[in-house]
Amino acid sequence: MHLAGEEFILYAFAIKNIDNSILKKEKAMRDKPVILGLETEYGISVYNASETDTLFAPYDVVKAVNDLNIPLIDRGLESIDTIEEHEKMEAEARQRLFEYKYENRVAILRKASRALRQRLGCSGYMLETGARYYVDMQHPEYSTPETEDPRTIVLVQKAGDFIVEECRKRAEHRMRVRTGNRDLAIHIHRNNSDGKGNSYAGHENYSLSPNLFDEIMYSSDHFEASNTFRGSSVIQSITNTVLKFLVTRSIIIGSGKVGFEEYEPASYQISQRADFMMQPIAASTVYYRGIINTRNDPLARYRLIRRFHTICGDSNMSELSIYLKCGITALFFKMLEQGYIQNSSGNLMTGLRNSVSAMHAVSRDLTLRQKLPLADTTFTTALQTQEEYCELAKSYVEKNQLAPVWTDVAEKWEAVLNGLNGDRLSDPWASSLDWVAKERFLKQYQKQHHIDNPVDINCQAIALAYHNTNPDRSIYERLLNNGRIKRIVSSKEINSMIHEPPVDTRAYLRGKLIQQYASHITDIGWDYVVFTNNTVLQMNHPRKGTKDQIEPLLADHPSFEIFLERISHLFTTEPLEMSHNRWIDNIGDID
Amino acid sequence: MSEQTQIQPKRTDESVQESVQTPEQVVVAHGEETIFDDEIFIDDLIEEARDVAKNFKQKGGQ
Repeated sequence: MHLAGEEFILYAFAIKNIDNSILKKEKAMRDKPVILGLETEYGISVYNASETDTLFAPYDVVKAVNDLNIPLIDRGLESIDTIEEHEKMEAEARQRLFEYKYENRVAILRKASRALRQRLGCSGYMLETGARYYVDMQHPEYSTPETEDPRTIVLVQKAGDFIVEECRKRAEHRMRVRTGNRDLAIHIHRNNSDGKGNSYAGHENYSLSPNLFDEIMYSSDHFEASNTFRGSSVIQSITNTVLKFLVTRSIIIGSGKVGFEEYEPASYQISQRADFMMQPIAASTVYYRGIINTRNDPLARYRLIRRFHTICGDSNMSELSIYLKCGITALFFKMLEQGYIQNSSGNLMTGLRNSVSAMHAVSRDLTLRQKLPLADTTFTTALQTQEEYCELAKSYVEKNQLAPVWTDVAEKWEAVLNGLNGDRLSDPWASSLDWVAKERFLKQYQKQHHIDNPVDINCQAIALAYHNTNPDRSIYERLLNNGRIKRIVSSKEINSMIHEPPVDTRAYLRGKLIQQYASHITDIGWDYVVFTNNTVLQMNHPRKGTKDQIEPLLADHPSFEIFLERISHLFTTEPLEMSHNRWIDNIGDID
Repeated sequence: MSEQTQIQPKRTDESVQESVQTPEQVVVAHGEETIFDDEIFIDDLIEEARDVAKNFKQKGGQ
């Protein structure tokens, strides 16, 4: 098509308007806080039980949520059980997600097979807290609702752990009655490795702007200078600084592990997941895992928001570890979004020479001072790198006058690093991190019982029991109750989140819909709701549907029809049939 | 929603909160070795924990 004269001017004007609109929304996105979410696959074991009972235990535990008598939506308990099946579905999901750029997500999901729907997040139960609870690869899995607040992420994670434990108790009781075996016991552990080469998830999610996400994933200069010197554009890149941050933050977010499963021998490691990270960047989450995972499923409007799916971190018991894991990573991404790291002095943008080797080395280096080669032939240490990021974050928070919680994150980040720099076992902040708390207790136990072998079965038992979700069997809980581990939130606050969604994202609307209008819901996911009247609510703006927006609309206890009409100004509602047929990448408001 | 809350709340004893507020000087640095001046006993759970650890094997996940 050739345009000339007035036509061309009108065309150029229209394009400019669209571009400006996208840029404006992208900038708005960059200025907003990062949205956070956690996913946990729990380790599950059944003792004194048949093979069949063991096989069905994850389902029994998840289904037991029905016994809690809480509002929920049952979406079917399809599960992908094997790694092979998961890989196949992952490949299909990637293909579908390419279409998702152009097509409506609900339409994609409606056409997907049951197994693919499971992989795309559409099975199990959606709870009144806005969380998802399901079975994945033979593990009970709990995904927190979304929030922008690092304190709230601690609360919703702990509330989820509590729900899982309540389900475990009920499933164990049922199984004992069914089998007549009073010695049968179900154990659930919130950890990431069985010590025998098998790992399972503690995933994190961070919202990013599409530009930053694409720059991390698809930048042409993301390859590390691991084998050859490739020039300054390679040495300093967004991707490399992300890798460096993720590798070195292990000294804060590690859960601690007795022994090793791959690579160099170790008697105690900082990270449980490090041995399972085999590439800098990769798509797979089950075989050759990457420090950066390339999954590109935003669960929101594709052109305005992306979800950075992080798989290299540990599941944490410590409130401080959870708080800092999400808090410092969110601050890091925020600084990247706004060019703060890129424009800083020093070598924060300089990548590691080999991030995978560094990941394994950092996990094994209990001195925290092992030199890590950088791409520019200089060296750093994990501690030094984290101190540099922390210093920058402190000035970023102050300069941008962020909410007090971010000042608190930066201060606790600094306190922990100071503690790690000294005698960490005696520092109240550093010793409240999972890997240090566990290390300290192990040392104490070894000393008391004159155990010389650090991988003694007693040490392994302690390391595992630290993660037990049953407070009576959990060493973490025992340390917490004896005041050996500092708290970030109170038990009262955790209790309040067992039945309530976070207030600052669409999770609030999701939770309230489940609490008050469950009988009108056919299906509900992270970013959509299908109602019994064949209407679809597209909840593709994660920051819409907050308590401030929704609570006034519910004040007079409206009927479902009236409430649906009221929220239609926040989200698109459309007939299910139209949702199936729509092929459009529309650009809506972000706020 | 009160009738829905059949599950009991988690720890609510204020003693836990109080203990958190107490300054922790439970260990002291002594030369190169950290000496623990308090002990947390786990004799009641170590035997079971050992059995669990010996047989702990999981399916690979994500």
